[in-house]
Amino acid sequence: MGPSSTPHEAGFMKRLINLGEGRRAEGEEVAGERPLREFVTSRHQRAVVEQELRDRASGRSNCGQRTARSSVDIGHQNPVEFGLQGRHRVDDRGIQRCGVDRRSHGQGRPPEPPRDRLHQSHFERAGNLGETGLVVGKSRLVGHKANTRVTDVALSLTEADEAQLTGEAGEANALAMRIVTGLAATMGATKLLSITGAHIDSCLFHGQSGIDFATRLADAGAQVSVPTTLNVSSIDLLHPDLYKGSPEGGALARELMRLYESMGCEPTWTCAPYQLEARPELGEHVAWAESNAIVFANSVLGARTHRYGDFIDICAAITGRAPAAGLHLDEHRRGEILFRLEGVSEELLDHDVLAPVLGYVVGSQTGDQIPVIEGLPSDIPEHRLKALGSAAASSGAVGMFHAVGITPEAPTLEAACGGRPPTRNIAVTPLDLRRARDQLTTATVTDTPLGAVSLGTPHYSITEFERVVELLDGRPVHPSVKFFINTGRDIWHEVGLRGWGRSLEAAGIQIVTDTCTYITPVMGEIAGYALTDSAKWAHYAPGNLGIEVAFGSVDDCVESAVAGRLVRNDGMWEA
Amino acid sequence: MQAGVVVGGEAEGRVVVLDEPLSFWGGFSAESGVVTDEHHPQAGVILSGAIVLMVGGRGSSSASSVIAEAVRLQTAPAALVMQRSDEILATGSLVAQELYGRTVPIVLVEANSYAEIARASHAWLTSGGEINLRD
Repeated sequence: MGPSSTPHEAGFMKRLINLGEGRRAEGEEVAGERPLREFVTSRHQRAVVEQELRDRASGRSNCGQRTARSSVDIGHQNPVEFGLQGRHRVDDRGIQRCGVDRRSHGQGRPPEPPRDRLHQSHFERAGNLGETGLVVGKSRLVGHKANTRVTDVALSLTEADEAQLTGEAGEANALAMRIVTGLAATMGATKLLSITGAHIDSCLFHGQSGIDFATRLADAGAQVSVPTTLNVSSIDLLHPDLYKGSPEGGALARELMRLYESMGCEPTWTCAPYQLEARPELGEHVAWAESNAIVFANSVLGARTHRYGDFIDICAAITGRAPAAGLHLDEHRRGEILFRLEGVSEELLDHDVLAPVLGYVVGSQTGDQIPVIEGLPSDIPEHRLKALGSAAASSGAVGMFHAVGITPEAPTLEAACGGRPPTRNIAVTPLDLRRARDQLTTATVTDTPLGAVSLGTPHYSITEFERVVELLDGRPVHPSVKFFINTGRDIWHEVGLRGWGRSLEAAGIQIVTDTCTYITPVMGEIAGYALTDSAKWAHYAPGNLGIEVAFGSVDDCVESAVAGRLVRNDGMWEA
Repeated sequence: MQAGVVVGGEAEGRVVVLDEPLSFWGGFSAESGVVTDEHHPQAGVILSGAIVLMVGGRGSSSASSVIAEAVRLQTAPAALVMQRSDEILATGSLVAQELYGRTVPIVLVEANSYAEIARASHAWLTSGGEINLRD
């Protein structure tokens, strides 16, 4: 286990300094700041903190420098799992070994730190943060089991980062920076990097915790520092009557939307920010949440974002910083598993329906590694890559894929894999694809009526709307079928300008903007199962909505909607 | 046994093994603490208060919110034991700590230890990442 003295912890020291200097009475609330009791609850602990500050002033804990990463060889041992033991131990060790790196003096294993008062203080501080305490660390096991090395985290912060962390830029930035640096520590990042934009998923209401977090930020005056788009919410503001959830839930969802707008985010309300006019370019660092958007940004645009979730998205947008780790770095963008299409018919290769099903296969076998796909037509349009990525991010934790000869970082297989051979080679056959397609259908389609069709997960693009208009060819949707298409308000505006909007609505299609049919109650009662062309929708809708689903191509969906029963082209799925 | 700490904290509970990674959003109900993903082998299983073993993360970036919400509602797993860290889950744990002073500790172990924990009925986790087991 490695000791370390890091600037990140130095930042922590500074926070203690602020506590010591800026806050006096126990439990006293400082305007715009968190109450003191959250940090230090007892007179004793405050005394310990103050002692620490005196020690620091006298040079005993002169840890303010930005230091390099430390790495400790723990010797030849059996398989082990090691990690930092937490901030409290890191801190005290850092202080103990400050100025002199004991490990550089030939000690194979650093001594256990004395459990002095300082250690106690940090330990208690952690305990005071909650029942479980906050301990953040990251172990990285390098090398083979007989000689395991543990690489410690040492996060170097710039002065500007530290200023944010210590509250010089206000409490909102301090909170946001705590989350960014906290996550950076778990990722083993050695520094942060600047981002040029963010896409926020936190604006979708999941419960009071989302409101609590956004309120904490907004009340402290948070403003985003980079152009920031917003993901879907639970409410379609253009068609508010569609919402059939509880009024209370609706009000909370709107409040969450308002909070994020108040922080300077653009009210784009789409899960496909890459279909907006401005999108990040090759090599640009962004912080995007929303799994399908993440895959698209990394894979198709060649922009760089890690798999960010809720909360960190807005924190990165506020601070303008993200961990220099994960998919931001070349070394983590190399393809690892090769999927080669074999024996797939020309008809299927040339059809929209291949992409989501292939993505579902790839994601389920890839986990969180980076897949490389070979055998796709070189002129594959963007909306198919979107469907592929969103499916892979649903069946797996895929944040990026390479398509050889198609995506920008994969001109060749060698380039996609960074010059290394793939660790696994997987042939994808028509049988694999057919199985995956069948997995996406939970409904017993022979006994149950078709109740609804839902397209547009992720939000439909202009190209996809055009295809639906063509397939529909002026025919109306069968009266027993509810037909929904989800899209972003920007795309819907353009659909209107092209003259398609009115004809789609006249055919009986309900357009849903700003949200999506599988995350919020807009579909109402469905008499039967729902059919979709989206692997992501098919994957999540049964659990979210409690309905049965069937999966088919967009052609199947339109033909079935017109006929009022399932009409599916199975021929192209044969070898 | 010693685990690597991603987000630390003490925990204790029965051991529940997820045979596949679970997307906490769309696959787990913060209201009930139950696995709701019908495609998942552990669909219907209650994760609340359990030491949950899951090799890696999966799926939606809204899982951070679901973790925080489950902590708020006290339906969250007691801890997550993984082989590969997942930043989306870690973010949820970090934010829950900020908001509510409680968290879902996340630790990492290698495959051998993972299998050993999976065989146990009950596990204790210290904030330093030490894991003790009962068969």
